[in-house]
Amino acid sequence: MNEISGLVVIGSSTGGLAALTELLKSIRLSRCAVVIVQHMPEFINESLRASIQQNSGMPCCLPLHGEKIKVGTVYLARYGTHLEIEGHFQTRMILNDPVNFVCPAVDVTMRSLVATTGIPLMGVVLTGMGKDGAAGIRHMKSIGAFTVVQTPQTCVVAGMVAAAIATGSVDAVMDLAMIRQELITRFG
Amino acid sequence: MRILIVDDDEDVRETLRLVLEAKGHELHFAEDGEQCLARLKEGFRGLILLDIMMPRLNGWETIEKMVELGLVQGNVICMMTAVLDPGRTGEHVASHVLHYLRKPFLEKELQSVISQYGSFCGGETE
Repeated sequence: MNEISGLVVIGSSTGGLAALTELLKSIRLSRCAVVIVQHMPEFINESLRASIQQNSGMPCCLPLHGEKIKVGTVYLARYGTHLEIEGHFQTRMILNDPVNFVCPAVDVTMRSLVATTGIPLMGVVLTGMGKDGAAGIRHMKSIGAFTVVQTPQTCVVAGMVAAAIATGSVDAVMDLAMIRQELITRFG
Repeated sequence: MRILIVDDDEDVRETLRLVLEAKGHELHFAEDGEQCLARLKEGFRGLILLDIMMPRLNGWETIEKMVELGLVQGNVICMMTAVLDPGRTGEHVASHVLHYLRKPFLEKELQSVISQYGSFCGGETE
């Protein structure tokens, strides 16, 4: 039996640490798991994991290969490996070349998802340079996910959200407070 | 906290010195990317406020060199530039740029960056 009742994938890059802090502060989502792909140097991995856990009040881990995704938990993709989510909500770490110049890449994680009957999915792209997340958002929309990006004017750098919007696959453009409220309404 | 200011504009360096010294931060300076790399080779670890348009090595090239030379560890990089939007010029080093300050910026914006990102400087690899 699948324990997952919802899955949120959040992609972010430059400016993302501050955005994630605002988005997830004391949020406690009990009806979904949250997977975060934040572009960052390797030495930030552990300190960001600890920061998210402390700030959100949700357990946050750096997933290993083959880990079963659990509700109420945040998974922060590790530097240096792409993170895929297999059909039965299990992690798969992929040692491969960078995609969109980055590893882990938002696109890889989002594109690994498959349509799941009755399990709501939500894809979120926040502030960042480049175009990572755009193909992922298009894919998530195609399998029935609710897709949202941060308002470009509130981004430190708006490249990623602009690229996602340009796909025509974004359901909503919201500031961080509104995305946060959307998460609570759907999965709190 | 330890802050390395990398900018070829002396006025910018001096203004930041006035603002940040008063707050008790330990400041280091570089006039271009090459001097930045020299400070890093000397052992600087902390927050780097990095201009983009500089002679010899620009900001993006400086980050490329930091990666190549293994000088990224422990350093939080914040670009500090008049360029409104980097477009896709910096996406190849996106993993290493945690923030982006647009000149001219307010002191409170700078303080916000320092308070938000200071705790990540010098973080340890697992």
